[in-house]
Amino acid sequence: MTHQQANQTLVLVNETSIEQWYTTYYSLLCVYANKFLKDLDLSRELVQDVFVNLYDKKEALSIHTSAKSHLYQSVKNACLSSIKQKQTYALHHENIKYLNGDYSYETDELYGQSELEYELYKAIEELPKKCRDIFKMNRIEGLNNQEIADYLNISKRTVETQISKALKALRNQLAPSLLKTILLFLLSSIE
Amino acid sequence: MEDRNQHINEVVLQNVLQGSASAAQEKELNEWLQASDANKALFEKMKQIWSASKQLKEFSEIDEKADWKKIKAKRRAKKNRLGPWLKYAAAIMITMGFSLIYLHENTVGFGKIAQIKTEQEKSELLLADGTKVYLNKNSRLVYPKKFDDDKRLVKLQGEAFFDVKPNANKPFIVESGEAIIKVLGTSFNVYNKVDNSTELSVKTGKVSLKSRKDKDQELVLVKGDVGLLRNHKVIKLKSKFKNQDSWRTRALKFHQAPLTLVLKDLEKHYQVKFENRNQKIKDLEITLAFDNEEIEKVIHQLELLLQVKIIKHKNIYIIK
Repeated sequence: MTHQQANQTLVLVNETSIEQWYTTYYSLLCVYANKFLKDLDLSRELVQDVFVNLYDKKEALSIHTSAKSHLYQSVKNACLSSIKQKQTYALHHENIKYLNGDYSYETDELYGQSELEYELYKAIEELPKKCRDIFKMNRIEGLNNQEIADYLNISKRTVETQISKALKALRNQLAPSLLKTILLFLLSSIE
Repeated sequence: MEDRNQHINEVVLQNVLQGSASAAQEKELNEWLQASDANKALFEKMKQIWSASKQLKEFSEIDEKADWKKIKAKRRAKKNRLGPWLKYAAAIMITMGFSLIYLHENTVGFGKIAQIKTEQEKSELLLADGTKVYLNKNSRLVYPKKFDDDKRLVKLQGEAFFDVKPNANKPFIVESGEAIIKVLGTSFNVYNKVDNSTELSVKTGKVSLKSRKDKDQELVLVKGDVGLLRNHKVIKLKSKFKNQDSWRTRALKFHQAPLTLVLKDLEKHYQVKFENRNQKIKDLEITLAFDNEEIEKVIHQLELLLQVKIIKHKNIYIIK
C-alpha cells in the first residue's frame, strides 16, 4: 500500500498549474493529435476540450504519474474515440495498433516525433532572425537556395552559410532530447 | 581534428541533405562518415532535424493566445449552462419594465399621450390649453392629454394650422421633421413636406423656427413671413402669408400674383398638376378669388380670364 502510494506522484491541479501545462504542452498536443486526425482545426478543438475538462475535474481529480502523462493519455483517448465515432478508423489503418492495450508517451513513436518537432520548432524560433527566416523558407516553404537568394536579393553563398549556421545551432541545442529519439529510431529499425 | 572535419564538410553536408550534392561531395561525405562513429551520429541527427523541420508548419498555424481564450470561453459556457436562460429571462423582464414606462410616458394611446391622424379627411381639435389645431389630410398630430408645467409640446407630421392660446409662461412648441417651432401666442401654418423640409407661415404674432440638429440655425418670423427649414438650414422666403391655410379656409385669394404662383397654390389646394404650354401668358399677374369652389369651376374661370384652353389629361391640366 505504502509502496503503491510512493509510486504515485500526486499533482496539484489548480488554475495556475493548468495554465502552465497549457504553455508547455498545448502546441505539442495539437500536433500530436493531428497525426491521428489529419485536421489541425479539429485537433485544436479536441485538445482545448481536454483542457476544459481539467478545470471541471479540478477538485476531484488527483492525477497519478504526471501531468504530462495524463494530458497525453487524455488527448490520445479523445483522438481514438473521435476516429471511432467517425467510423473512419479503417482509413487510419496504420494507427490501429494504438487501439489495443496500455500505452505511455515514452513508447509512443508518434508522440516522440511530435515532441522532437516541437523542440525543433522552439529552437528554430530562437535562431537569429535572418538565419531563422532563411531556414524556414527552405524547410517550411520549400524554396531552394537559389530561389531564396533571388527573393532576398542576396548571394546563394550567403543562403548556404545561413542554413549551415542554423543547422549547427540546432544540432547543438537539440542534443539531449534527440539522442533519445535517435536511440528509439535505431531500435525500431533493428526490429 | 573532428571539429575541423565538421567545419570542412558543412556545405557538403547541406548539399547532401538537400539532395543536390555532386559525386565528389558524396564521396567526401562517405569518407567523413567512415572516419568516426561520432560523425555518423552527427549526420543522423542532422538528417532528423532536416526531415522533421519540414513538418513544422503546423506549429506556426497554432495560435496559442487565441486558443487559450477559446478554452476560457468554453469553460464559461459550461459553467453557465443554466446561465444563458436566466440572462435572457432577466433581459426580457428588464426590457419589458422599461418598455412599459416608455410606453406610458411617450406612446400614443398608452397613458399621457394622444394622437389624431387624418387620411382623406381633415380634422380640427382643441388642445388642453385651449389652442386650436386644424389638421390637413394625411397628417398626424401627437399631443399630451395634459401639458407639462413649463412647456406645451406637440409633434406634427404633415400639415396643420395652429391658433395658439397665449400663455407667456408656457411656450408652445411644435416639433415637425427637422424643425422646432416655438411660440408664445400666435397663429401660423406648419407644412412638413414629403422631403422632410418644413414650411412655416405666420398669420399673426411672432414665431421662432429652429433646426433640431443645428441650434444656431434659428429664424424669428413675424406676421406675414414665410420661412423654410431644409437640410438643417433655415431661410426666409420671399413669399408672404396668403393662401398657405387655404386647405383650412377653403378660400384662395390672389392679388396681382404671378401665374406660376397661382398654379402652384391651386396644385396644392386641389391636389392636381398643371402644365403651361402657353408662353404668352407665362408672365401674367392675376387677381382672383375662389371660395370653396369645385376644381372644374376654377378651371372654367381661368379659361375665361386667360383666354386659353385647358385640357385635362389624366390628372394633369394642360394649358394651351
